[in-house]
Amino acid sequence: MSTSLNKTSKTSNKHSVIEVDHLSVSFEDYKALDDISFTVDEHDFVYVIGPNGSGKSTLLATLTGLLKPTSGTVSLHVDGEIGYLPQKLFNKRNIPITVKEVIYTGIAKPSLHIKPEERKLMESWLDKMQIKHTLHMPIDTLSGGQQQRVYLIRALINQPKLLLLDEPTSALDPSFREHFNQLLETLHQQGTTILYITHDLHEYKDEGKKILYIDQRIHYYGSVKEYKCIHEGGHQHV
Amino acid sequence: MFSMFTHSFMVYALILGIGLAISAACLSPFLVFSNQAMIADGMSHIAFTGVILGFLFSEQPLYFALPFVVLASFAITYMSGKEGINNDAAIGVVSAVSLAIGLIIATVGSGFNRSIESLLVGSILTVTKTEMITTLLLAMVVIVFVVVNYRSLLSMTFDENYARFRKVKVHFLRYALTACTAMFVVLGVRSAGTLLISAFVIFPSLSAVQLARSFKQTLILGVCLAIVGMFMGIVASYHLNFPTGSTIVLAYTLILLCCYGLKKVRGN
Repeated sequence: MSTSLNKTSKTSNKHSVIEVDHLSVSFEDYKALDDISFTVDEHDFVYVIGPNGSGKSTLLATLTGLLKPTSGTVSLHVDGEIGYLPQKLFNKRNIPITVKEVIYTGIAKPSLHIKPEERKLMESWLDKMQIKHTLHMPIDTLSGGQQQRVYLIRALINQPKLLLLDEPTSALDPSFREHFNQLLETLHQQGTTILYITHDLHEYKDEGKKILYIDQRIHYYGSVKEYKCIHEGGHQHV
Repeated sequence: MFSMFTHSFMVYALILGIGLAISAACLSPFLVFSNQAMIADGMSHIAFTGVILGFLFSEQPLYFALPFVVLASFAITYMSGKEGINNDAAIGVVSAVSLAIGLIIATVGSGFNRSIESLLVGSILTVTKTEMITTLLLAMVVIVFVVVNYRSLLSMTFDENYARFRKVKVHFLRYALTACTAMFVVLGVRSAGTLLISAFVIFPSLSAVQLARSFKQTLILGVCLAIVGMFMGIVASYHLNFPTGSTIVLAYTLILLCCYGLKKVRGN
């Protein structure tokens, strides 16, 4: 039972970025994940889907090391940083923290003071997320959608090689959702491996992408195209 | 007004007070915004027992009280990390048990009466040069700890789970923060008393957050306001012949009200 995060410098062909082997996670008598095994290769874009309570967020929390497996192993082989957006956005009231400071907590090797180049990087991401004016604003004065964009920047600021996103668009309006998916597409094309928990598949491009359907166990792992064909054929589970 | 500083005991009191104010204000935002504001109050109860036990074994009770309170603070932190026990309950359990033991010892033993009164209300004007130097050392340790770990402490205070993901040593920092608070409480109980010492931790952030626009501003403004409040309190207590600890807390309260008023004015 272990979670290991290795930073490798492989230059060969595609290699596994995530290796999950017979993973089970239990909370007292409840089994959230039951003996699941899969691998994610570098440059893969995997949608993780499943009903509520199926273990999707548990899987991501285990991949990040926040949860320990009850049995089985999880190994990450990442040549660079890992970005993570949790499902539960932290919403502590009355803490005087600005957008700049929230993003600062995500910077991989921060200095005590925010350097000019770090500030420029923050501003460019805020611009991409269309919230440039919020840099010095307290986080709790922002709307839910704006806050989610800030947390997305915190996940993306280090230009991660592996991106773990737990329902990243749940608070975003439809027009920005489209913009965000374009951003992700660009990151994917630049070589970022992405694991993306979602409930909405219909609005996303599916070329070259995979689906991991879990409900305590793995019910499907393969291409989006094939999954949709099977679903259109009337199957509920594969 | 400043002729009072021709007395060496007043100079000691002021330097010690400012050392305490800086230590408490540096720790303040990381405790207050982690919902641990009452940890200093709990520890002051523990310090009470620590000092009582110290009187039993030594002429210098602080040498016994310091490790006693640090260990008890670790017990609180350990219990807080356990599922099913929240932070307030952990503070309540450890401090109530400590206080109960302390009161039993004080009742059964003899010769504690004067010491107990002094422990409850504090007596900053009778501090020694050694206590002053120890407090200044504590202030330096706390400042270095906060500056070196600022980003990690900020991350942990704001979002502990994300801090864990970023490999921030949350456990180590939590214990270190508690140990610094424990040391502050033991040194502060002598001057401010067990009943009032938690105010030193709570007020700076509470006042600063009324005006500050960021976490860093809250920390820096909190330190400045704490120094001003301490100075006002000590000077006022000398001239009005009021108990020093209580007067300092009233000065802190006045500053809090002013900050709140300024916030309202600015809002309008």
